[in-house]
Amino acid sequence: MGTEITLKDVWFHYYPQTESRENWAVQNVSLDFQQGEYVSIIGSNGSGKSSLACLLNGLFIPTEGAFCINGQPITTDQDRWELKRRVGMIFQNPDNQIVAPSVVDDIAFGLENLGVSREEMKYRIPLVLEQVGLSGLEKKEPHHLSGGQKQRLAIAGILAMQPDVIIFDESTSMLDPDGRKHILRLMDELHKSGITIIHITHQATEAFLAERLIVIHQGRIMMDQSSKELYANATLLDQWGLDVPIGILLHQALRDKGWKLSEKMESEEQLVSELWTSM
Amino acid sequence: MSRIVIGQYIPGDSFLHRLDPRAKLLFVFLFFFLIFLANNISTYLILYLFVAICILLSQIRVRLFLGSIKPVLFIIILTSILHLVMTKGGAALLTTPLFTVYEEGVRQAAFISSRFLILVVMASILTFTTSSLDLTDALEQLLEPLKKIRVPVHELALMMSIALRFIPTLWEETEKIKNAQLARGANLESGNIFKRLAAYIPIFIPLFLSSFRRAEELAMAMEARAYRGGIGRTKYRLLQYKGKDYSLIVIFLLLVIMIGWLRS
Repeated sequence: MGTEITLKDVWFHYYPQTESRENWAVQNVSLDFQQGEYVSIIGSNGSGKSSLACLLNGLFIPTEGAFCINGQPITTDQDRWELKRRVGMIFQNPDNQIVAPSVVDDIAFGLENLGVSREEMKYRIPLVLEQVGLSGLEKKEPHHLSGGQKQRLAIAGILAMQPDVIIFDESTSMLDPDGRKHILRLMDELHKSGITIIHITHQATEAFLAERLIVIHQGRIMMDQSSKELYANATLLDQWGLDVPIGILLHQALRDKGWKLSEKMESEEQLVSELWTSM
Repeated sequence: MSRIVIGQYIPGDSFLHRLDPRAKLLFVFLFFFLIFLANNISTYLILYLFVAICILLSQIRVRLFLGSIKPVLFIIILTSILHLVMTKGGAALLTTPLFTVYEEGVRQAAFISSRFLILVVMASILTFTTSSLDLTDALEQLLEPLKKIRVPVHELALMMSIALRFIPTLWEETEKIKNAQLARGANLESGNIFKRLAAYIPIFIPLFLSSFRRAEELAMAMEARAYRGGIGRTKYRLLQYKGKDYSLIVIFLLLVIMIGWLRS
């Protein structure tokens, strides 16, 4: 059946009584996420993207508006607890989301919370370790892992819970280039396996790896387009304090210099291909 | 990290490593009482002999045990000196203008320092051969009956496990902050003890702040993984007593009988 997430006119603020509505973290957001989508939510610091992520996982409760899963409103604590199995979340700092003193026990933590049987845990844990490339490190203590390995451990902990949706909340921002590549590749693989990926980031180059891009600025949704559409209008990102991907800047600079390139570019691959044929 | 010895787990596959953590924890707990029953040379010799056998069985280098004694060496020496100069009884062995050392003083100093040594080494044997996770699991299961009087046993065990998990992380963080402050000209090594303590304030404040932030993020990550206390939780790690665990009862009883028989 999968998990379809719907936010309808959602407003959120940590202290709604003290702030005027223009300063709320999330303002009048209406979004739909279909099963199997690969979506990036992009915004500068303080734009409200992490608050939005926490709303999607049930960690925060909308101050106003409706939050539904497969059309059913999420209202009770029990609803929100059950949501945690369907919608997993990976945080920014790999160190602050590992609970147990060993790899295998940390993966088991979420399963124990869900009340999964020991036999089922013994079946699932080696599978997810294999999936994230941490086989053989079962007994390792977390502080002996690299940043990238810690983040993969966090992903394994969520994968073992067999979610339909995984939210990556700036999960690559504290990693070295290798660790980052590994996580992005893993996101792509998970998406191909049918899991909905929601990638919260402020890195435009990473965001464009998704099929759909949502731009959030000062708590409001400014754009919600396919990445191909947004790639063609990517210079708009600049007004919301976001970096324009280098490929787009290069495309414009070359066109200004008189290179015969398409007016609108849909991807970096297209740019490379056109450059190759024009040389 | 190499400086931390007390409480550090040394992975291995010795007889002691393979014992059930609950059995080890209970045994060491009761052994601590047994130490206080010893009151003459023969009883202390038996305890020393037993500790030596345990060290051999643990297959852990003696150097590490010596390392675990180091932090408490000052207390051992201080209490021994106090006993030497303050306990009176028996023949006077050494007389100085300031104090006189009596036979009983030497005896008490030797026994008290032996108690400390045996206590520390036994505690080290327990922690060296038992992972922190096993220890918290054991504690949780041994304290299980207290749940009936609403003691939050699961929460306490989880707190302990998280605290142990974060020791290396916070240690690294302390080093980072210390280096950052040193790079900005902080002077941590000179001056009297009060000046040195004051110099550490700029290290502790950021450390506390970042620890609170970590705690908040960790709580959110735990909640995101469906944690809601002990309700409906299952356990991945299963502790089961085996034959060798029951042998600890026999060993303990033998020790009790021998010490009871030999004590004066």
